[in-house]
Amino acid sequence: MPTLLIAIRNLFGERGRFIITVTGVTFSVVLIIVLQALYQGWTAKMGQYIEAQDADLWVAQAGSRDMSHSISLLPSSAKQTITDLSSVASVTPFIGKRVGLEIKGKDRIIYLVRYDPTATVGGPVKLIEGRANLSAGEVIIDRVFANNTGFKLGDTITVGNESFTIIGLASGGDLVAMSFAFISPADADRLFQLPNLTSYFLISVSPGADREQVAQAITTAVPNSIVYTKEEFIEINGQFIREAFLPIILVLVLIGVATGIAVIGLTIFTSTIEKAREYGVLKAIGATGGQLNRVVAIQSLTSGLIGYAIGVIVSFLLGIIVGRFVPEFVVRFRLFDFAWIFALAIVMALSAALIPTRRIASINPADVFKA
Amino acid sequence: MIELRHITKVFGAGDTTVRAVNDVSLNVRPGEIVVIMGPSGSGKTTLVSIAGGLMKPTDGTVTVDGQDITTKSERQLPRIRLTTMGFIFQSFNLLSNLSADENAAIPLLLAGQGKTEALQKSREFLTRLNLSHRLHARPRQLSGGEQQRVAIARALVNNPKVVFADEPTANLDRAIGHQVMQLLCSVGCEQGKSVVIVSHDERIKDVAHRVIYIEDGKLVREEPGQHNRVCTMKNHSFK
Repeated sequence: MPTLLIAIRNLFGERGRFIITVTGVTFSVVLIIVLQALYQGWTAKMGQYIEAQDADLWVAQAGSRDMSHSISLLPSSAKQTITDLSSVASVTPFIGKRVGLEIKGKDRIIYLVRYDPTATVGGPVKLIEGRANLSAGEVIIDRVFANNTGFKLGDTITVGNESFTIIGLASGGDLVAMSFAFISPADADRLFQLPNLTSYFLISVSPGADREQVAQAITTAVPNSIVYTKEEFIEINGQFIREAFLPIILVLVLIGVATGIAVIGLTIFTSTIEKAREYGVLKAIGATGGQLNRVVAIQSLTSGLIGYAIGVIVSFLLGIIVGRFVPEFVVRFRLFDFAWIFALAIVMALSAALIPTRRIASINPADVFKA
Repeated sequence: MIELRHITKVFGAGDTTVRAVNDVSLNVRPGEIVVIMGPSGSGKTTLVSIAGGLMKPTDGTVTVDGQDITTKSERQLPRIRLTTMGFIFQSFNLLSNLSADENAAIPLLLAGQGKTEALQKSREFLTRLNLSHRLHARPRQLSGGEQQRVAIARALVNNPKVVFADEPTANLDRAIGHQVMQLLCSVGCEQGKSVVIVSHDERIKDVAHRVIYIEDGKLVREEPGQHNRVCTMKNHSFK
């Protein structure tokens, strides 16, 4: 395999250029992997709270969509209507309200939830610090919110004219643009001013019951309502991220790919120009165009694959290290994403090899006789 | 072994037409060493490029080892060059990132031989050329004479029928140049290959059986070389 020998020797014979190439590819691969992982992480984050709740169905007001951008109000009396339906195991009202706050000169939004510590659903996903048994005048906030605002246990948050002492920090309640915070039922009832209303009903169906049929029965029984399965509600809540960020991520991925192609292409092209005489010698000796193209393609592919491998490692490390200091940096790595980014790295490397191969094709082997 | 018949090469068109080679015919037999001499721009390099299948003539035919290479396609020519021809260049033209033994093995590797076998053969050649201690050296670590010997090993390792050498002693001092001339002599006489040398160096006549003079693209004169001055093989004959 003379092509492999020449390609590898050329590649590693010029360490400076090789390092630049691999660094460039690594940068573009990290950019693509991290963006994709952030996108997946944020999409998953939007549904994390819903996923953690022990509810098969979410009943909302007809016309409402996700929790971040629409309001759902249902009569509290519907609880009994739903409970009376067959195949319904439990019904838990979920009452929440988006509240704007000004903290240290910055506007923030939290989603205040009426939390009954004795209930099995509707509370924080995971308490990571402090306690969960809320009393009046106390609040549990999400750690992302705490990190962004600098709040810690024992600090006070002012909502309207009322102050709440932070007694717990939870995880799993961040919705990118806002996060969940939990207050006692007494505080919520006074603050929300929503008598006889609830935001959602969280339904558990009886074992063996058909969720679709139960959902249909609830829709019929409760006027002006819409029922989502847990999966549908997770999907709807993640849609915001998909619609808002996917076009941006696509553009950035394209920039990453273009950067990768440019870096590999330019360095391999420069190397090809510098070694034009050697390629001419090989042509004169009897190397075919295909063999010489393989030399360039192997150099390009090797740079691409090494850059990809380092990029994967760096992305993992970034996910771990940055995630510790910046809680909203939530990444979710999927094997599928690594597979398509791997394929993209190969396409990137082969595309980058096209221009140098055209340069090689134009080399006249007779020129090697010129001193 | 190599036969050039009525070779003409014209560059450009209209007022800028240059007739670089003008109706040159030449035969080089197996074991024969022919030196082509002439001033710069006389057409020597163009002629040897055409003879080596690196350039198509405008007119005429080139027959190497019984094959008319002027009728061969660009896809067929590399294989013909690889199997029947060896090239030695003025500036050595070794691959800078490969060691001496790898450089010499390149034609074998291009022809599809395994790396181990190819390297073994190239090392044998380099050892014969007194380079056994420099097998793993990169070109930049070799002297001019050593580089030219590696280039000669590369030209011969595939056992070609014809060897083309372009100014093989131009960048070498007198002593090393003499060594290279002896090597070329043995390539022709001992190994029976046709050797075509393009040179300005008058000393190279010492290795030639025939010297051809070219001026303005035309073969103007031919005279016997002084082969016996360098060649130690007195009893050889052309096949």
